[in-house]
Amino acid sequence: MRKNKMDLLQGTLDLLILKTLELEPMHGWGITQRIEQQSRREFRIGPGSLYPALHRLEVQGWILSEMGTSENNRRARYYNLTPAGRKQLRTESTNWGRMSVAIASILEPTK
Amino acid sequence: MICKLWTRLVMRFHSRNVDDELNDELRFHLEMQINQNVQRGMSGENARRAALVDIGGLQQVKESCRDIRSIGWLNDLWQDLHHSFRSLAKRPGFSAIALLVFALGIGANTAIFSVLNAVLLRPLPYSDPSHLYKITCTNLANGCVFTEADLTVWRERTQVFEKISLVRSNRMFLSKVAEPEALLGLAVQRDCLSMLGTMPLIGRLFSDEDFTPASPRTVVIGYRLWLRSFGGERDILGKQITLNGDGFTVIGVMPSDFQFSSRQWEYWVPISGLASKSLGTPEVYSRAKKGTTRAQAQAEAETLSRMLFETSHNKVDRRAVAIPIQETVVASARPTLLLLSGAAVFILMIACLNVANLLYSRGAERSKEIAIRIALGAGRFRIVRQLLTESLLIAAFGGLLGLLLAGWANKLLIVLFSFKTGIPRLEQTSIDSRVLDFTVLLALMSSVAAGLIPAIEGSKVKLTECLNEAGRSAFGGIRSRRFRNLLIVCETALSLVLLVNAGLMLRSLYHLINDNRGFDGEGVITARLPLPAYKYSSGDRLTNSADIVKQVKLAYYWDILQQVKSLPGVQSAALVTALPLSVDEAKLSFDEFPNGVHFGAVSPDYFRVMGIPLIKGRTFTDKDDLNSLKVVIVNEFLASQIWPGQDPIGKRLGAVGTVAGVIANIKHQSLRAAPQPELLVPFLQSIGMSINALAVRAISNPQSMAIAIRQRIRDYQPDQPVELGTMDQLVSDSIAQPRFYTYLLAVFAGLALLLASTGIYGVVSYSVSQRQHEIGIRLALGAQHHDILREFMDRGLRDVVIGVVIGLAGALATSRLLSSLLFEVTPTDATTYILVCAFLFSWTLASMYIPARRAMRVDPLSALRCG
Repeated sequence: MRKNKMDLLQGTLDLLILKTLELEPMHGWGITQRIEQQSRREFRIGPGSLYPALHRLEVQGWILSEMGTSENNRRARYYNLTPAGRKQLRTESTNWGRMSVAIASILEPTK
Repeated sequence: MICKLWTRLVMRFHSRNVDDELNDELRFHLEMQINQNVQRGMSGENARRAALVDIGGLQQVKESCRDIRSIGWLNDLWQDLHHSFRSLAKRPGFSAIALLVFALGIGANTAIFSVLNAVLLRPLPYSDPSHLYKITCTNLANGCVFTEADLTVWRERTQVFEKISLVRSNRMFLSKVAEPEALLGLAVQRDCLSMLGTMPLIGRLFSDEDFTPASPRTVVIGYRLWLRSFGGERDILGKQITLNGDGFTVIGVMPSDFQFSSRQWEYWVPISGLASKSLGTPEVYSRAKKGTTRAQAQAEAETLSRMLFETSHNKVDRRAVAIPIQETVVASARPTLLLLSGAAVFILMIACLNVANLLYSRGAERSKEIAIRIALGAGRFRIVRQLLTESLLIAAFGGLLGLLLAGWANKLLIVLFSFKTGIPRLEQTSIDSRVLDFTVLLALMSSVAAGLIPAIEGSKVKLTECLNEAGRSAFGGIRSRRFRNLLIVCETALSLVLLVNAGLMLRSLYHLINDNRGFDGEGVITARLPLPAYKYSSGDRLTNSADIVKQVKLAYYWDILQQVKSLPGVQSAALVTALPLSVDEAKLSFDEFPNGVHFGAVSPDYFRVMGIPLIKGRTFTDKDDLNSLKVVIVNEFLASQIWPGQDPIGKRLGAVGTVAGVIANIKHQSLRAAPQPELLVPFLQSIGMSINALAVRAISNPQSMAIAIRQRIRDYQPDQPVELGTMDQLVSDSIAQPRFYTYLLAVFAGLALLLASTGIYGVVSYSVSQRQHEIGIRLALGAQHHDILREFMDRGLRDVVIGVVIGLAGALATSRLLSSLLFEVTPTDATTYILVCAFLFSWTLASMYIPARRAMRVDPLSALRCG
């Protein structure tokens, strides 16, 4: 788990976060849960990587945040995609797709 | 990008709030993690511990977030400024000196730039002046002019010029006021004033009806005339003033800063209705359509003039040239002002070198502090940036002080130099936004220029040597010594260039003031009496005979002269056509002298009053009148040209008369002009010109005498304008411009010398203090004091010599630029060069000797201990 976390490139983490926020706003904990769920427990993002990443995304203007109340009535910060963020998500997804196809074709040249 | 920056800025200012929220956020995450752990079966305590381990150190998370939030360079800059300020405040002596040096360097540049700005750069007070042109003829010498008829043709045909207008200078006499005056004004066509676009202060400009023959005559007056003769009363509008005996209704007053073609016009009248012979040479001005370039305007001017050439009868080549109006006013002042700016730049260079040296030395003392910071992890770039910020701070405050100094200097300049320097708009020198921008830019550039290399060098600290307890400064290495040598060489060279040029100008000024002028006008009162000629013109007066008019004029002035002579307190008085160095000039054309001969009619006492030495023959007497033999007096120059090597007395000079005497060459046009031929006739034998001036020598107190003279003339002729002055004033005005430039250059050279010598003093002094330890050792080992002294001096001497040599080359190159300004002094005047070199040499040697002597006084024991 820990080894995977460190191998994860920063840009890929951004991509995952943006994708997770595509459908609905979430708080930080919710994001880690969703990513863990959807990656079938492959990726477990710790708060030490998550929150700096969220801050970075916010500074770059791809996500917005505001304080709110969670399901169990606690104060939590909810994150939401901005239009610029949506566009960035589309771009990054396309790039990722292209890259993985390229890598795959190198690893299995006879395909 | 801006959005990103903005977000960061906002985040920075809300940082505390954001911190709290981050705390909450992380706490929430922690709780959820703990809950999950519990749900998965861990005990409460383990769940918590596991969650904490997971988070991996709350503080670090917060730090990383905070790092991302902080606005990188802006935050650092603020820190740097804060730190620099504190460290400069800890060393007030150093900071004060550096500040002062910068203040002098930047201040000098700001001062000269504000003059440059006022004279050359500021647009003239017209609307959209870049589209205004003066159209002149290229061969002016042959008297080529454009007439109103030409303009009528042009107006129809031109594609490029919206308006074309013609003006002619004009003189009229203002009477029926407390102080009758002869005024200089401009006769203009209808479009002229409106073409310039300046709105009148009150009233209106000319319209069509002012130009119809039947309508009453109107005039627009200038601001100074309005204040002077009409008390600045607004009810002047609609009133009539008497010009040349006729009534003119005032329809408008121009604003105080309005100026046109560099002469001070007092009034503007419609050109229609004025006799052509009372008007000066026509000048043509035009406004080009919006978007027209200078090249296009020039092409159009040529086309128009060629059109005239083709359709005219006499085939005179009158090629036109379109000059932008700003150039017509400022062009003459540009070269010298640029020269002075160059001098100011030299001063700044010296200042920057001095500050750089100071920073260098300071860097050496701080090497320990810097070493520690590097050891703690500061990057080299960060150190350089911080050191550079210090020099920026010094430059900022120095610039502020310099601005203040420049402001005072400007005020002083305006007070000392009256308007008579002939430099247009000099009195409008002030510190405006453009000057401020310039100063800011200069401060920035100076801080980088002075601070960059010391900052880079300062950051190259060898950790091991500096952190060593006994570590002496490893800083005074070869590089810094080379810098000190370079400083001495450069500053010596720069100051030499300025000093030589200033010296040449000073000598030139000395010659201007002291060379023989051909007269001695000290204490002579002058009274310019322009004749109200309209009273005596052959018009509808009793008789038209030119002879009678002449007699009347002569009698008129002769009577005035007798009146003045009879005043108590008058030693002697005389009449003269044109006083030397005044604006008046009378010329007679002569075969031998195509440019004309200076001509004057004088009364017999003239030579005595003006102290003009007689070289041969005799002066005029009362016996030389209308009925006696026509005589003339010539000056040496004329005599030597017409009768070289012979005795001119008794020779006939054409129809003018017989030569009765020879006088010295008098300077008429300016003190710089070469000798001109001059011809004088006795007043009573003259043709009755509008004799212009009285020259009076008083027995005592010229001031009260002048007032008495005016009163006497007024009593005799109430309408006669009397313009009082003194010969000393005329002389002073004629050298006002060279004096201005010379004094400025001299001040700059002095400033440069001051900065350079303090810089050199500092360099040597520092070098001495750095090497105390070494000196102590050598003294202990038996070296003599004067050996040490000589060694210090030798090094410096070599640098000074190199500097002087380079400076000489520079001076020779730059003094050539002065040649148009110098009088009786060549740019390679050996005496000046030798004197200046000797002076600078001894001065810099003194600057080195004094600190080097301290080296002699070093006590070996304490020097060894201090190591």
